[in-house]
Amino acid sequence: MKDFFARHRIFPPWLIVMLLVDFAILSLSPPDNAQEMGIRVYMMYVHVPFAWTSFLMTVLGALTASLYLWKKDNEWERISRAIIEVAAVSAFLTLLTGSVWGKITWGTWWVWDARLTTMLILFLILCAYLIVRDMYGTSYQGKKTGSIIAVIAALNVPIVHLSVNYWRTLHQGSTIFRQEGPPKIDSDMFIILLISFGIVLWWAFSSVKLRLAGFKKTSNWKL
Amino acid sequence: MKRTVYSLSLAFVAIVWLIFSGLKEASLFFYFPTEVERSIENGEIEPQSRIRIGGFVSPGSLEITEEKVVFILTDDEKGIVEVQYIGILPDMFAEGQGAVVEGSFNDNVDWIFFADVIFVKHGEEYSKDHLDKSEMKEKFGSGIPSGTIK
Repeated sequence: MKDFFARHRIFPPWLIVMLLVDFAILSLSPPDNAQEMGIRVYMMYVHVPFAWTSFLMTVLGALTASLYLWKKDNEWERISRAIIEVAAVSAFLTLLTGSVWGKITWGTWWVWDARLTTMLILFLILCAYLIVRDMYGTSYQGKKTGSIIAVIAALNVPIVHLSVNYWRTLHQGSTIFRQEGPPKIDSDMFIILLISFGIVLWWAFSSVKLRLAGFKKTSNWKL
Repeated sequence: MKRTVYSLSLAFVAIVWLIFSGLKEASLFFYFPTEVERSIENGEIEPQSRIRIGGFVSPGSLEITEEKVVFILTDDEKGIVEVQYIGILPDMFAEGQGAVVEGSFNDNVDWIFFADVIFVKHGEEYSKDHLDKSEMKEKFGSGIPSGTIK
């Protein structure tokens, strides 16, 4: 077990410290009364940061992939792959935490509404990237195909974000990045949300760094 | 090179087409009570077809007995649907709260909607203060495309 943690470094000590800090912050958060949600609103501090991170990482991954397609520099592809991997994990965690939040608020783990469906499609496109990159190995073909898929994934990001505005969904609309008007959230809730986002971002960029180191070490991924 | 670009573009077009054609139906995750009345009059919805209706649970209408749950779903335009449901209610289900029900009118002459699935629908505003529940818009938030509710 110790070996597993050491090898994969998925639970580094700083992550555990951050989670503890996160829980301490959560206990300061007021329960939501606007939607009669109570402490169920705490799921937002996990779900929303992962959703934003998956969007950001997908866009960054697509940008670096485009740079690879343009400059044909393997270094960009390496960075792009590390970023898209983290994007895929974030997208999965978005779906997972959203599912739990949906169960305790809406009363269902899953519905096929526009927001949930488009987010699932984003996750599946990111999975397609991972499969293609894994199948074609270090060939130019694999890198190029993967990079194009990364760009397609980023094109889907605005569709996911705007899905709640253009389709009638069970999922609520955007609280922070609204089309008009200021965020509809208490300032102390907003601050906690931002801190949580910061923590998830930290996790994301640390993971990218870890994956980059992994690519160098493992002969399979040598580029 | 060209073949990859062509096939991937084709895949992308196919995905977009699937999203939009597939979501055409799902895009209307539910009807508002007002639309249900109108659509049944126009013959757009068969009374026995399985549909979803979303609105808010009219305050004072909720009756929970041992065998069933009865309440009225309403919207801003005073559309009203009487709902009968047998099953477990979501935790957050309450009077004045948004809800989406799934079921059919089952050819019932009294136009009672027999639901077998209930979801709570909530808005996107979070606060430690309570909202004024008289406005459905506040409960549902901007998730409603403009124009569907005045």
